[in-house]
Amino acid sequence: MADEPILQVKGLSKSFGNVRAVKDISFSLRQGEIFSLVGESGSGKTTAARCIIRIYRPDEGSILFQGKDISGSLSRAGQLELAKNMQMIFQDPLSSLNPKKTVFDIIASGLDVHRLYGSKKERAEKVHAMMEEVGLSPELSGRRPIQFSGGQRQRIAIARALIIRPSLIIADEPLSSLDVSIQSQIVNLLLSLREKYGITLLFIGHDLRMVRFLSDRIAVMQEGEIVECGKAEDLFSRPSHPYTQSLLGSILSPVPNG
Amino acid sequence: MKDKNALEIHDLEISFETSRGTAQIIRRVSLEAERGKTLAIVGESGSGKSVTVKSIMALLPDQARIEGGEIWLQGRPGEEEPINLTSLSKEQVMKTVNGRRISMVFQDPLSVLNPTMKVGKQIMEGMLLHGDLNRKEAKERAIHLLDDVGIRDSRLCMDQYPHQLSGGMRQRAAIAIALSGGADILILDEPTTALDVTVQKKILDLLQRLQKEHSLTAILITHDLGVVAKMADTVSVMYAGQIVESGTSRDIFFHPAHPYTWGLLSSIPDSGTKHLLSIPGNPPDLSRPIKGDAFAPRNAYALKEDFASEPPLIPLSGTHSVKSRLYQDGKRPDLPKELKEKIERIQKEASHGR
Repeated sequence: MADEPILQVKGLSKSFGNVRAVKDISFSLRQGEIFSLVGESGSGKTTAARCIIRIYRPDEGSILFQGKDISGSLSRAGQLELAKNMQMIFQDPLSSLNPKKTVFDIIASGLDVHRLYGSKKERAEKVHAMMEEVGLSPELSGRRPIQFSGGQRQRIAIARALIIRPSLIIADEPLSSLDVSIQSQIVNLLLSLREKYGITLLFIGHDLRMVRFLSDRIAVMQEGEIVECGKAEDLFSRPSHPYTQSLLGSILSPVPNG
Repeated sequence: MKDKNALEIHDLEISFETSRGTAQIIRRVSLEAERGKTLAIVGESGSGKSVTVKSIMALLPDQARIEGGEIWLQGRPGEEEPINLTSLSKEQVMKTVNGRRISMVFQDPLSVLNPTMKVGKQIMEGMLLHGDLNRKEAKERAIHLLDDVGIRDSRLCMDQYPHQLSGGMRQRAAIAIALSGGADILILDEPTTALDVTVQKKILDLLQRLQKEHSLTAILITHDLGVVAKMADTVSVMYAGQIVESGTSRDIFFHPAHPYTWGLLSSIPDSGTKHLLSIPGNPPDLSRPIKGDAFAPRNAYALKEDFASEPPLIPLSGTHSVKSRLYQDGKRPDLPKELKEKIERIQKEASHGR
């Protein structure tokens, strides 16, 4: 069933007190697709992502992941299985990596939780292979997160998420804390991992040039609603909603005036 | 110093005491900011761009030391002589220069706004401190400034606290405070990085209007080349505490010369990008001594000598200079093909409106 979406969000709403952060949004992701949510701060994109990965419990709507509704309560086994298949990468890798653990143990944590190794040797081999895959030297595995640069830390976070071979990765502004030259390294890494493993990526970003380059499809959010959704190229060449138009009109071109 | 310049930095050297010894953070930086124009300093985190501008206003932290060089501030037209700011004490700079001649706008307006004080009082504070105006005059001027930075209900804003304003309005209020002491040089440290794109555009438009109306000189620090292209007249590119390329905005965007600048421009995706080029590796750790050219380990175009000694700064034209051996002996290498095509594509895109 290749056409069956891997993730289907239907009528999702979430409020915090009087603030309706997400209002009745629906979208779906196909296997192997890179789908981006864009919008300004407060538009609800992070809240939507956090509902999907069960950090928040939605008020209304359903979230079907690989055909199963994951929006309600799940058994312990169900939660574990979900964690095995859906992983998240955050904006600031330093705050999402345990500062007391070595990089080896951080990356191995998924293997430990899901018991994905037969021997200590196999565990070590998997971690080292994963580090090489994301462009980190395995020699550095004994160090702690603080000893790495921002870009390297984001690689660690990606390795930790990827080592258990999830089918969906949610990346919430993973480039925002990185320098320009490092951002493109991470984007290229994400693209090569998609190529190799067919991972599906739900990407949240605000750099619209980068989002256009990276995404297959894009949904534009404003005040908790999806105002426009379409193929990246169509959306950029023929934006139809006035808000999308104003958003795209605010992109600064790297061409000097005058 | 040259008459046309508002500020000049000559061979500035700054070191930091760290737990791992002394780090040379700024390594012989020279800059010129022309009066009424915008100089952009572009670089990644750790390149030294913020430290450089903080040294102008004597805002360096205690572990920093100016080891050498001079910072010259032009006298106001028809008034004083130029002053070498490095010859003044920290207190003198704070009292006579900061706010009156040079002001700073920061990335996060909440870091400069006092959360417990009404906006109006914060704008008036500086004016009253300098003692040129009485309370009533200061209040009128504060309201006028809030109007000027595009705050619609300026009288209401006077009585509001910072948390009652949106991010864009806070930055406007911070700009009003920066202008309140009559400064003619504005240092803009990533002024729109924390803002949404539609708000960013409005703030940049505002800064351009204010600059024109008040003949302000701006020194803009940013890593966003889109912001640089919109705002800058001249650009200096920093890497590992040094200026690696300087030129007019057109020099840097249309005829970039340094491989690092090539890398920065190449990592911006455009509509025709198939494969995104990136600069490999990471910036160097400045707490360790640097041998040769700091960029050489990441530079596909590095020559053998670059690993042994620093390349010289080579002038390419009256406005354009580059710190790279590729241009020695009158050599003028071509731009990498992919970048050349990208620049042409982006130019075409821009001339078509987007």
